[in-house]
Amino acid sequence: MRNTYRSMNAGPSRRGLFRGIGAGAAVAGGVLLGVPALADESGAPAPPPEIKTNIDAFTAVPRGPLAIPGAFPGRVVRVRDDRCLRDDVVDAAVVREMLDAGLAELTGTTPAEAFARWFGADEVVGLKVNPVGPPVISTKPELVAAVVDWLRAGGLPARQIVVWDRFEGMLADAGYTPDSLGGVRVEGLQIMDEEGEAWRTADGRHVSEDRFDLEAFYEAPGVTGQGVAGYPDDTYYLNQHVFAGERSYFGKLVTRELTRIINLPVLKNTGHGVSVATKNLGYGAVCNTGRLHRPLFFDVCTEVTAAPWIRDKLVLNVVDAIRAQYGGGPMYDAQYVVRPRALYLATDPFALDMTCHRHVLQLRRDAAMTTDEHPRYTEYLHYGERLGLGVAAPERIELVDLDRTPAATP
Amino acid sequence: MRHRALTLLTVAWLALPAGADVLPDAFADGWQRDGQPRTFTGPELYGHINGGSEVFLELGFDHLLVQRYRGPDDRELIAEVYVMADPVASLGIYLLRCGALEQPAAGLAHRNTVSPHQLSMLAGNVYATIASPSGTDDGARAMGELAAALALPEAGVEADPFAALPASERVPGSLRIVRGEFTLADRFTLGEGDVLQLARGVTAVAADLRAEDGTVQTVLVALYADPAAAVAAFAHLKANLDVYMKAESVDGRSLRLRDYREQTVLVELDGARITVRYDRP
Repeated sequence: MRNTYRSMNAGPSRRGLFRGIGAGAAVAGGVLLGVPALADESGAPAPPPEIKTNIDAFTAVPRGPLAIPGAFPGRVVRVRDDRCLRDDVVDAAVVREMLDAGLAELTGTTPAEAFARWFGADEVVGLKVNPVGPPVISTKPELVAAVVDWLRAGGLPARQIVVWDRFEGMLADAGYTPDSLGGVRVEGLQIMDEEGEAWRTADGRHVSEDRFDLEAFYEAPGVTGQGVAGYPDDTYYLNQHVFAGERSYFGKLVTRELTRIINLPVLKNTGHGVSVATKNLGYGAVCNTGRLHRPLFFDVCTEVTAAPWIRDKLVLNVVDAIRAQYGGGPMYDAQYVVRPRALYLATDPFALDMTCHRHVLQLRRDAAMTTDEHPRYTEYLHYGERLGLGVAAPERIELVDLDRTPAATP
Repeated sequence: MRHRALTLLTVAWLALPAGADVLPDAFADGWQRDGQPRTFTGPELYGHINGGSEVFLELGFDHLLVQRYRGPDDRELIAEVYVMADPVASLGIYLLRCGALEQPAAGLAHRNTVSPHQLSMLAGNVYATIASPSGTDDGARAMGELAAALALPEAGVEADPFAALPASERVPGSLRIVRGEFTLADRFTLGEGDVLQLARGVTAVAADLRAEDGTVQTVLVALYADPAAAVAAFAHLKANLDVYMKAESVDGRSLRLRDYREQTVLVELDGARITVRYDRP
C-alpha cells in the first residue's frame, strides 16, 4: 500500500522526506518512527515504491493566459446574507444579489466587467456542480441559475453553457434539467443505457466509453481497479470505472468542448478533510476514480486540477455555502448540516479550499466534535502551491467578508 | 468475516433476511412504493454510494435495499436499509454517522436520530435511513410512519460491547466501533493503512474518557485472538507509525510517542490486548 504523504514532497522522494524530517527530529532530541531503520529492525517490509503519476506531463505544458490561480491568487471573498434562506427555502433573488456582490468584491469591477474579463462571445462554459445529497447539500439550482443569468446577461447564449458532473443520473436527481435552466445543456460524463439499468452494452463495453478522451488522461501506474483494497474488481464499481487499467481519462466535454470552467462546489467535509473546489474537479473531470481513493486520495484533487484542460480553463470558483455539512458524509447526513447562508468566491481554488477547510474545522469545534488537524488533510493544498496553482499558506490568504444581511430594525 | 468482539458478547438477534420483505408496499394514508427496490450486495455498494462505501464494508456489510415511496401531493421519501453482517457492525455504522450528534425522535421503537430531512435508525443488524427531500412537517411525519412500517429486527446487542471502557468516564457521543483503517481514521492518526491489523477479524472499541481532573483521553482497546496476534500487530504498528510521530520511549511492550500536535500517545501491549491512549488538547 502506498503512503498518503506524497504531496508533502513534490520534488524529492518520500524517503528523502523521511531523511529530512528525521534529521530535524534528531536535532530536537526526538526519535522519528516510521523511518526505514526502525522498519528494518522490526522485520516489516520496506515502504512500497513511490507512485509516479504523469503530473510532470501536465506541468510541462506551458500555462495559458488565464491559468489558475488567475488574477487574484490568495484572495477569497465570502458573501453572507441571512435572507438567502427563508423557512429553509432558497431565495433565488437574494442568491443572485449575493453572486453579483461577490463578483464585484472579488474583481473590483462590476459583474458585467467581470464577465468581459473571462469570456468572449465564442466561449463554451462548463458549470461543474456537485449533485451529491440533493436537495439539501448539493449545489443549489438557484445558484446555478444565478450564474447562468450572469453569463447570459453578458451575451452568452444558453447553448454555450453546460451544467456538468460525472454522473448524469445524479444531475437529474439534483434538479438540473434544461427546462429548469432556460435551455442550457445538462450533461453527465457517465451514463447508463437508455433504460437506465445497465452500465455495459451487450458486447461488454461500458456505455460511456465514447464520452472519454483517450488522448487525455491522469495516469497512476500500478493502481488499478483490481488489487486495490476495497476495490476487488471493476465490476463492482462500474459507475466509476469506465475502463479498467492505470489511466483516468478526461471527459471529452472537458478536453474538446469547454473553453472555460466555472466551479460550483458545496461546503462539506470528507472525513477530517474537505470536499470543496479541488475535489469537485479532481474527481469530477475524469473516470476510473474508485481505484484512486485509497492510495492517492487528496493528491488527485491537486494533480487532476493541474492538468491543462482544467488549469487553463478554470476561471472562477463559487462555493455554495448556503448550507454546509461538517460531519458524516460524503452522503447527506442531516445532523451535521448547518446553514452559513454564504457564498465563497475565488479564482484560486487552493486558497479557497484552505479557507473552507478552516471553516469546516470551526464548525466541528462549535459542535464539540473531534477535529484532526493532521497535516495529511491539507498537504495537497500546499502541494498545489508548490506547483504554482494557488496559495495555501493561511497567513497569505486574504479573506474578505461581506455581510449583506440587513441590520435588524429596532 | 468473523469478528472477535472485545467481551464475550451474548448476542441475541434475528438477522434480517436478504429479501425486500422489510419494505412495506404501502403505508399510512396514500403512500406507496415508487418502482422496484434496488439491491446492492457486498462490494456492489460502490455502485450506490459515491465514496464512503469503505466504512460499511470494513465494519461488515451484507446488502442494501433502496426504495422510493410516493405519497399525497406527489411527495417523496427514500428508504435505505443497510443490512449489516452483525449487530456490532450496524451499531458501528450508526455511531460513526450519528453518534456525535444524536437527536432522537420520541415514539419510535428503535434507537434513532432525526432531522426534518432525514431519519436514521439502528435495529439489530440493520442501519436504516429515510430521507424526506421536502423537509416539511408532513414529510417528517411520513418518515416516522414509514419507520414504523418497516419490518426491522427487534433486538440488537445485549451485552455492552464497550465494557472494556469505564462507563463512568465515557464522553457522550464519542463511542466508536473500529474494525480497520477507515473506522480507525475517524479518531486516530497512528499510521498508514490497517496499522493495528484489525481487518483480520478483530473488533476494537474506542471512546473519549474524561478523568476526574477533567482531562480527556481518546482510548482504544483491541483484543486479538491470542497474544501472538497482538505481538504481531504491535510490531506492525511500530514499523508503520505516522511519519510525524516522535518516540519518547520504546520497548517490547509499550510505545510513548508525541504526535504532530505534540500530544502524548501511549500504546501498551498486554497479553492479547493492545490499548492506545491519546491525549486530547
